[in-house]
Amino acid sequence: MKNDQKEKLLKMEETLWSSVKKTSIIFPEEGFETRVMRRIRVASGEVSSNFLELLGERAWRMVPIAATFLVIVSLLAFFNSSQEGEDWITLMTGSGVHLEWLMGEGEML
Amino acid sequence: MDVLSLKDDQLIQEALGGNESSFEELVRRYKVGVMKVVYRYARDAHEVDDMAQEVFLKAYFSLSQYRCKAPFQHWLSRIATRVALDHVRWRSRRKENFFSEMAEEDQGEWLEGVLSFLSSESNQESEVNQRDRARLLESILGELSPRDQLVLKAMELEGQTVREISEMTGWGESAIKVRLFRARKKMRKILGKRCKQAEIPL
Repeated sequence: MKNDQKEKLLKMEETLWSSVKKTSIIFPEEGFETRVMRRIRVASGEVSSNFLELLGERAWRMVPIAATFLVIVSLLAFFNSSQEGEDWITLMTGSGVHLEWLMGEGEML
Repeated sequence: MDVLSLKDDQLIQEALGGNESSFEELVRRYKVGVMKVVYRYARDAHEVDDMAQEVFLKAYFSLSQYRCKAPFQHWLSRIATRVALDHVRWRSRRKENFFSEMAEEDQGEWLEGVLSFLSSESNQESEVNQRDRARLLESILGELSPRDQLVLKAMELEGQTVREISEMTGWGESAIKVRLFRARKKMRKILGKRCKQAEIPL
């Protein structure tokens, strides 16, 4: 390899390293100590790592997702019913059972 | 007992006696230091988290082997280095990187874009080409051995000295110097090969 080629490669190499140096460190989210201690307890056999237990601990995280999902489904059903003139609760439940009795006789949403 | 006021040695003794909150305090004190060692070898924040957890797990179960001669941070760094090295080995076996996962017909075009930027004099910055350069570097390093990757990253990215790398890995200083020299040479060769592949004149 010629000297000028070598120099060019060296310069390219330097630029490569310097571009990566500028990237910032992304530290993980909070609760790190808790996760470490949990893994230690699991590894020591003090706590079982069974799925249901994990699910129980994390179930509260599902609440906002479930609530958002319900709101979206309700809105879709409501707009759909207002276009077709149907009872939106019937559409939402999808059961085909008329829920008119819930709203009082003859009263529709 | 207030663990915050205890020194490292006292916390270690407490943890060895089964006091979990003492070890938790050690994790709190040294998590950033450990993450700084492993994060250069991780792809994302989740991998950093996972590797750092692994380090503390290993540290917990081998705490009785720690002799208080060297600072606790050094001992942890050695464990972190071993975990990072295992991770690099695992990834090398899987040959997972952006470049190798790309379709062959796209590789040339992508390389041409990144390398022509690198070889040009007017290196105008942008976030996109910075990311691409990081990917290119990762793909080149992926062709080196895990130990070569480790010394190069420690030297070039962390700015560590040969002595510091030696303390961190337990390898001899002269062996590290030789490894660095050879790793740089290999890296340049691979870069030259990529330029040829993308038909970038040198």
